[in-house]
Parts: sequence; C-alpha cells; structure tokens
Amino acid sequence: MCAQISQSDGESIFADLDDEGSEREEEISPRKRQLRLYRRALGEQWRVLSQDNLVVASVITLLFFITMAITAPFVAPYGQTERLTADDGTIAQWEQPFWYGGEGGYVLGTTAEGYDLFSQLLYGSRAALLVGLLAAVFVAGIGTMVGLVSGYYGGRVDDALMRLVDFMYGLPLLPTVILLVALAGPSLVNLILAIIVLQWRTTARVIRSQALSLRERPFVKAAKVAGASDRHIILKHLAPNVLPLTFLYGAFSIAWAILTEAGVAFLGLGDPNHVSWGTMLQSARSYNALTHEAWWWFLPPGICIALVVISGFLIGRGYEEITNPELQE
Amino acid sequence: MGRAQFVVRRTLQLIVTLWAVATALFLLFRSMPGDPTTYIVDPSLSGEARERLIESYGLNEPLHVQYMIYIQDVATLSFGQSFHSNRAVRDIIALYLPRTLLLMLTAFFFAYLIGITVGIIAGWRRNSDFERRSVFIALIARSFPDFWVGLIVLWIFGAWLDVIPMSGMRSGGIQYDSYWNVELWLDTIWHLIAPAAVLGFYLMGYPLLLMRNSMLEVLSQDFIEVCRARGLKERSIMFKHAARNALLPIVTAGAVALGYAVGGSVLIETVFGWPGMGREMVNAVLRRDYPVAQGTFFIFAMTVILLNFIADLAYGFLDPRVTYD
Amino acid sequence: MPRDSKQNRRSFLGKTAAVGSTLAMGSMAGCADDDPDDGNGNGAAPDELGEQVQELTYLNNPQDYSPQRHDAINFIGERLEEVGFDVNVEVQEWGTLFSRVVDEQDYDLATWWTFFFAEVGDGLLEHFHSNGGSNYYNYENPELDEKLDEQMATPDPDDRRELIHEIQQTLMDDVPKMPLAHMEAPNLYNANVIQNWEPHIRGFNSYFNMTSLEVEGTDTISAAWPEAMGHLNIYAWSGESKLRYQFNMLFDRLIHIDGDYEIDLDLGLATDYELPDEETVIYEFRDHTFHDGEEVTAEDVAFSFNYVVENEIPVFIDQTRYIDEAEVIDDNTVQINLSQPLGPVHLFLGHEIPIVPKHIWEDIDDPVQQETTDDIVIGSGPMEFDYWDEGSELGLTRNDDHFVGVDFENRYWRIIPETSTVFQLLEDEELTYEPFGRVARRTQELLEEDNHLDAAQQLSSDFWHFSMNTDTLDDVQLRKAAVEALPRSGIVEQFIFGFAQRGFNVVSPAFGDLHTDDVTEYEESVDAARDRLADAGYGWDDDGLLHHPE
Repeated sequence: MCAQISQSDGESIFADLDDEGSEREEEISPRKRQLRLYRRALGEQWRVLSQDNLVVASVITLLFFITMAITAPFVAPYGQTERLTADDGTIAQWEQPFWYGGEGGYVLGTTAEGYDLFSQLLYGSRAALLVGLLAAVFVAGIGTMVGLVSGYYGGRVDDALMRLVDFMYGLPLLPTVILLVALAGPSLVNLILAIIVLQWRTTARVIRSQALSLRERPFVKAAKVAGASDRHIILKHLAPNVLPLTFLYGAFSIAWAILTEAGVAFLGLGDPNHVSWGTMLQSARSYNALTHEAWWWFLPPGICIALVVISGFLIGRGYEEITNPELQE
Repeated sequence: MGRAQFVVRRTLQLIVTLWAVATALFLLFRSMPGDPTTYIVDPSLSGEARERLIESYGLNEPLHVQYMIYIQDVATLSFGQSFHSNRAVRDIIALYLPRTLLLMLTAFFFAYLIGITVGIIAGWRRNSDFERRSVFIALIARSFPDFWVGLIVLWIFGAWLDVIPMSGMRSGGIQYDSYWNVELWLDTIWHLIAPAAVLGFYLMGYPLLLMRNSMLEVLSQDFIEVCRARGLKERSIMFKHAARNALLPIVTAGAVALGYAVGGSVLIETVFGWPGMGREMVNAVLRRDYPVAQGTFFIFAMTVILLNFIADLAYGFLDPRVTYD
Repeated sequence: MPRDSKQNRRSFLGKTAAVGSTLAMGSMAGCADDDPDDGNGNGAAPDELGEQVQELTYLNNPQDYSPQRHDAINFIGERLEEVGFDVNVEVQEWGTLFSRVVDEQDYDLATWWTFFFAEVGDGLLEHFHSNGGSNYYNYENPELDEKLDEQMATPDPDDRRELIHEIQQTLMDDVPKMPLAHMEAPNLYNANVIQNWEPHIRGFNSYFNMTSLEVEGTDTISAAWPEAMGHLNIYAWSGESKLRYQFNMLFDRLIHIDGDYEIDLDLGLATDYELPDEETVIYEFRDHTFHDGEEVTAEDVAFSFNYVVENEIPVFIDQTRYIDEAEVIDDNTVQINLSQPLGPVHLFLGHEIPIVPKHIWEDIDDPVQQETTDDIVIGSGPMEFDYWDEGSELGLTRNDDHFVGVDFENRYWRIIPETSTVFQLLEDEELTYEPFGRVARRTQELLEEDNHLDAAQQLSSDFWHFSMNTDTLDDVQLRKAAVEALPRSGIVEQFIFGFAQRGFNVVSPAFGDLHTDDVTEYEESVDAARDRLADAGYGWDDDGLLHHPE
C-alpha cells in the first residue's frame, strides 16, 4: 500500500536534465538546449497523461467547451440576447424545450425575457473559459513567483512580500470582488482583474511554505555551494519541485474563478453585456425558474460550470502525478 | 535571530499591515460612487432631506477629518455608528458574527473532520478504489456552485418534499425571552441542518484533496521507512507520524480558509435567508454604510491576518527545519 | 446595448389588441410590417443630414434588483433603436445608478419605480421646479415654476386643483418624465384568513388598509420583506417603505385620508381643525394614551411638531420649512403657526408628522443618531412594539385602547431575501400576506390556481417612470418621439403581467380629482415617432441612425 520511494529527497527531480547538455552544439546555444528539453519533457508528460482515462476525458471535455466557445456564433440558432417572438407577436417567454412539448422548436426553451437558452448556454462558455483560464494562468503564475522568491530569499524580501500577502488575505474574496466591481463597474474584464488581484495570495503562501522547506534540502544547498545563481536555483531547482502545487492551485483557481464569477453574477453584479453561465443562473433565480419547474433553465449552466471545473481539477491532478515522481508508484 | 526577536518584529509588521488595510479600506469605500442616502432612500425623498441626512452622518466634513476620526475609531476598535441602523458597529458585529460562526463552524467542523480523515486514508491507500472514489467525490463537491446546490436542495427538500425549513434561522411568530431556551436551540439546529450540510459538502473537498496530497508527500519521505523499520503499527504510522507531518499545509490553508469562509458565506446566507455577517457585509457595501462596511471588513482582515500570524509561528514549531532568519 | 442588437430589431406586436387599448392598436399593428432599418424613414428624407443625435445612455438596474424592470429597460432600448436613437443601455448597481442620475445628472434616460406622497403638490414642486431638489431632468420652465410655487401657497382647494391640472397639462406636453405604468400593487394574501383590503392611494400597507382589514380564524398575520429593518427610530428614518409600514402602525398622525382620497376625521387623532388665516392651523384632538399608558396631551402634540423643526429631522425637512411653531391652546387643542402660507396643510403636515411622547424624546439629545431602544418605539398607534429579532423578524401586537384599532392580535414580518421562498411560504399558508407587491409570473399563476391565495389589486400613486435628461434631449420633439416609442402596453402586459395600467400622466388617477385625464396623449408606435421626427426635419443615415435637422 505504501508508496515506494524511488528517490531520496536530497535530489532534484530534474537532476537528469540538469546534468545533460554536454553536446557541443547546445553548449553554444543554451536556448536550443532548453527548448529541446522542454519539448521532450512535454512529450513525456503527455505520454503519461494520456494513460489516465480521466485526464483524457477531461481534456476532451475542455476541448469540447473550447470548441463550443469558438463556434458559438455559427452553431447558436439565435443571438445571446435576441428577443424572440411567438406567432401571435408577443415575446416568446418561458417556452419549453421542443422535446418537452414546447412550441417554437427551441432546444432548451426560452427565458422569461424571450431569449433562447440553448444559444445562451453556447455563448456562456466564452465567459466561463475566459474567466477560468485567464485567472488560473495569472493566479498560479504570480502566486508561484512571489512564493518562490519570498521563500527562497527569506529575510526582508520575505517579510515585505508576505506582509503584502497578509494584506491581500485581509480582504474577503466575494465581498471585495463585489466592492471592486461596484467601484469599477460590472464588466468581465474588471471581474477577472478583481479575481486575479485577490487570488494569487493563496498560491503564494502555499508555495512559499513549500519553498521554505525546499531550500533547506540538500540538493539546494549543494547547488548553492556549487555557485549556482539565485535565479538558476529558483527556476531550475525550486520551481520544478513546486510545479505540482502550482498546477494544483492553477486548477483550483479555475474553479475559484469560475465559481466566483458565478457567485458575483448570482448577487447581481455580473457583466450585463456578456451572457455567462453565472448570469444565466442569476436570471433563472431572479425569475424563479425552479418554482416554475423550468429545470432546463437552471440545471444546464450549473452542470456546465461543474464539468469545466472538474476537468480543470483532473488535468491538474494528472499533471501533478507526472511532475512529482514522489507521487508516482 | 532568536525567537523573541522574531515575534517582536512580526508584531510590529502586523501593526503596519493592519494600518495599511484600514487605510486602503477607507480609500476604497470613499471612492465608490454614490453615498449612503442613494441606496436607502426612497426615490421620492427630497434632495434637501438627503443633504440633511448626509450632514447627520458627518459626511460633509473634509475627507482628512473623516479619516482621522476613522483611524481613531479603528485604533479603539469601535468603528463608530452605522448610518443604516444607528447602532454601534461593534454591536452589529456582535449580533451578526455569532450567527455566521454558528453556521460556518458547524459546516467547517464536519467538513474538516470528514475531509481530513478521508484524505489521510486516501493518501495511505494509494491507488485503491477508496482513493479514487473519495477523490472523485471531493472534486464533485468542490465543482458545483454552492448556491446552485443550495437552491436545488431547497427546491427538492423544502418546496417539494417539505422536510426542511425554507428560510431563516428560526421559525416565525415565536418570541423567545432568552438565548438559552432549549426550544429555541432545537429550532435553530433544525434550521441549521440544510445550509450547514450544503456548505459542509462544498467545503469538504478542499481539506480532503490537500490532506491526500500532503500525505503522499510525507509518505515518500525517509522517516516513514524508518518508522516501518522500527516495526511500528501501520495505523500508528498513518495517523501519528505521517498524518501529523502532513497536517502542516492544512494548518496554514485551513486557518485562513475559515476567515475567508465568513466572507464567502454570503451566497449560502442569501439562499437560505440566514441573517449572518456575509450578507450584512455585502449589504453594507451596497448601502454605502461606510462604518459597518469598514468595521466588518477590518474585523475580518484582522482575524485573518492574526490567524496567519499565529499559523506562521506555529509553522516554526511544527517544522523544525524552518529557521527564524 | 446587447451586442447583437441588429438582430434584435424584430418588431414587437404587443398584446394591445387583446387588452383593447384602442389608442395604440392601429399603429402597433402597422409597425410589424415596417422595416426599421429603412434609412429613409417614414417621412420625406431631407437631402442633407445634420449632426447625428448623440448616443443616449440609458441606465439600467442589475437584473436581480428587479428582473422585470431590467428587462423592460432593455426592451425599451431596443424600441428606441428602431426609431433611430443610438442607445447604450448601461447596467449599474442601484447606489451608483441613483447617484449618477440624481446627483450628477450623468445620464440621458432612466427608469425606476417611484411614487408621490399623498401630498402630490410638494412632489411636483420638488421634481419639476427649476430649483427643485429632485429635478434631475434639468427641466426649466419659468412659467411652470410660478405655478408650482403658487399651488403650494393656495389654500382654496378649487383654485389649487385648477393649478395642479394646468401643471399636469404642461408636464405631459413637455414630457421630461413619462409614466410607463401606473402600478396596481398585486399584494397576495391568504383569502381564508384576511378579507377587506380597501383601495388607498398609498397602497396596501397604509394605516387605512391595515385598520380596515378583517381577519378570521387566526390571531396573527405574517408577512415577509426582503431586507432587514435596520432600525426603528422614526427620526433616523430616511423614508424607506419597510419602515414606513411599521411606523404607520406604531405612531398616530393627526390626519388620515380614506380610500377616496378624502380626509376622514375618524381615522386620525384630530377630531376637528380650523384654518383661521393663511398661516395658522388649529387642531382639536381626542383623548388617547400612548402605549406606555401615559396620556396623549396637547404638550405632546405641540412637542411633536416643534421637535421636528428644532432637530431638523431629515425625513421631515420639507415640512419644517413651513412650520414656525406649535403652541398649546388648551388640553385638547394645538395651534400651529406656519412660516409661510401653505395650501395642502393637512396632507402635508397633519398627515406626515408623527405624534410622539414628549416624556421620552425630550431627554434625547440627538434624535437622528439615537439607536433603537424599547422606549423610542412607543407611540399611540393601533399596534405596539412586541419584539424585534434583528435581521430575522419584527413583531407588533395590538393596542387594545386604540380608537380605530385592528382586527388581529399580532403581526410579524420575517426577513426573507429569496423570492421563491416567499411564494412557497405563501402557498404553504406560513405567510398570510405579501406586502412587497412582487410582480412575477408566479404571482399570476398563484392567482389563477384554485387555492387560498387572492390578490388585492388597486391603483396607487406608484409608477414606473421614464425620465429624460432635458440637457441632451433638449428638443421637445425628440422627447415626444421617445415617448411614442415606449411600448407601454407591451410592458404592462408582458413584464408586469397586467398588474398595472398603461402610464399616461405623472399624477395618477389615484389622486382623485387632483388628477386630470385632459393631458396630451401619445401614440404607442415607432412609426408615429419616426413621422414626428421626419416632420420636425430630422433624418436618418444609411445605418438607420437619427440625425438632427441641418
């Protein structure tokens, strides 16, 4: 049951990569060498990744939603806020899906405003992916860099950065996002910025505590003794070792970002000009869709949110297993 | 650097951080468009009446005067008086915070108890069905928006099956003389079940996943082998040695997650009509009730920052490899 | 505007035929066949186009704040675009929105739910006088200013009515503000328990309504409100409805009006009044006691008026402009000396100023900052304070000694933010009535279903308004065209589910004979709007956008 330990913890997991590159050509061009190494690493990673069915399923799911986001204008039968009219000239409000006996042939029926739900669901993927992916990249990136720098240098740098993190922690996520959005106006860009500003703190803190431990490990000390530069140690020795956490928090960030967007929208401060799954849920709630048993309005956006979030998690987890051999069998 | 010096330095930094938060809050709120009268006033109230209200809130004073008053208030933790309720902000916090804590701590307790336990076992029994299932459930729990689950729970169990109360933290139309009335408590617990369960389910995923990962880290380290070599029992290694060491990231993450959950409770509080701090905080922002908004945000900030401070110190005690330089 | 507004320009044929609004029917039908993007418009296109009519910012509330209104505003935006206006619907959180319109006038178009107090003349003055505190239309009309000032100082009811009619006529011809719909607050209630909702200008939560309710089979009636009360200090009050509905019950006024908008001396504390001259009013009032058992004396009544003036109570600041001093004449008579002549003295003063116990408030230094205690909720009204579980519930109980009284023992209000929960609790008979007047599909359904729920429906002074910044829309023809594009019937039918009347006059018919039907009427037709603009020399470019006359 217990994990077999294949490596002592005194070694960098990228040690083999570090020691390579003795070929002449690459000595001349370190960039080429690095490129080759990354290509090889990524190829290797995908090979391992594709062995896990859940990860493959997640990648397919994400690709599906990305395709949905790109092709929405071509696939969607109507505009996202195109007001539909019924035969008698009134607004086509609360139409049921056609397979549920509804009129007008709408795949998922229409909203109380007379918008096509299926089209909204398609367009909604754009906002969710934009928020999720952008926030994840920046949150994980900024958080990791701050955490590593802080943990590695320690002292004043650490103090200053960690007090900044403390400061950020002092701001409660949802109320502060609401505050910032109320301040700057409800738009997707402001929302993404607010989420990034408030979210990198967690990653930074966790990575920093990892870095604190790591820098006491023998391989880091050895590198120091060997005269490696700080930058080299951070990027080559520490970064690879915290990557699993970076990906874990990157994945969590997708979840947080998408869920935060949904939450802010739910409280009525979503971007009114972009339909997102969050604003769809908000509309469904405002118009009491569940009371009217219009579950085709309320359920699909929530399920889509969950699918994207879960895919992010699973890919993150798969990645973590590759980059952290300690977790491998 | 010695431990005492470290504590002193960190305490001084703590004060600077808190001052920075307080100032930032003041500036943030004052740069919001609108004023306290724009939200609470019926649109039919006259302009002159609004001016008189603003005057009564002391908002006609120059900004630096308001700031000085505010900083004094913060220093004494009094935060002044609410524009919306005329009540001392301290009293408002004393009223709403316990309600949120009741909900939060209940949810947190069960979420972390279950999450950590399952996480330990999942990490220990690597690649078992148990691990796969528990991780999957944790991911599911974490993936659905809690307010969405809450509304569905309300719809199914409240409206349709009619087995849980629809709203609030007590039944209507009953007046209790004291907080220590047994019926009141039973009634409150009855109202607590649904929101705490939804919240607990949502919160559970985080400690579970974190604990599992942390366990895997720890299990790959030498000393576990040493323990094994010494012939210690598996159960004892799992809970006493491995889990204790693996708890470290949970301590930091969990401590702040708690503070952070208070702010995030606004969604569940809204759905279940729970009269708590999260809702009050957001309402204060929307109402431009600066004293309440500043007070609640600051108390929140102070709690989280203090928890961080303590976690930082605890880190040093728990991980002997950390030095105080 | 929604991004795909081009596709949105589908003609909307309201249910006008069905509701029989003859005025708009023909033209509404006509617009269905019209191609709104036809650059030549309906009139003769001028050869040269002037400057483009500037983009109009139409501020909208977030959806959850009022879903129906949010959508109606989007819908109006779409219709205005059909006319050729370049409309930018901008959603702002309510505090920001209100401030942008009222304080900064940084807007072109705005819509929300509003009303005038029972005394409409002061509201008109406040809104449409060049110096009015709520004239966010930047509307200036010197002739109207004079009339507005004059009506407030005219004690003769007939003369005053004439002036108010003239003011309405001017306003509805200049249209800085157009009512979209006169609301008929559909308050749901459990018909097994409550009967006899009487119509009243201020809706279903008024003193008149509550005291005329007939309740059977229960002692307690209950209701829900989405927001917590905050406080119960009548002098810290900033006019919120939720508190008005509590204070109505807790505190007596000298004067109350009945369902016909007439003063009824049986309803208020006053038993008689006298107006010896333009600046004096004398009230005689009945023997009565406060909730704490103390007698309501002339000292208390005079104090209640003077206190408001001395402390410049914000919510009554308009009233304080007219009060010089109140003095005791004898045990049951008080004389109020006015600082300037005031026409609607009973509705504006006697009906608004609450009567409070002097022995409690005289020791309070700053009533505006006073926090809520058991003392300050003591009044003499038909209900007294029972308990307040802050953020959750407020309970009132019957004052058995009241001269009008209520037909129920207790009334409590719960705080429930979730609308669907409120509907569910109404269905489950856990709530007896719904004071918020939610307009939703569910309201309609619950009424149609065979159940215990019924709705008291009647015209109040509440309305959805469409306001224009006359700095931007300075040409009255532009404003009139915008008004003609408003799909008022469609909004009433499809967004308010018929719980309203089509708006046509800012002074609604609920104001009895102060209201007049004899005002400029507007068609509901994009065609009419385009014809009007074409006649006034406006033109359209190839994109269908409106340009000024050259």
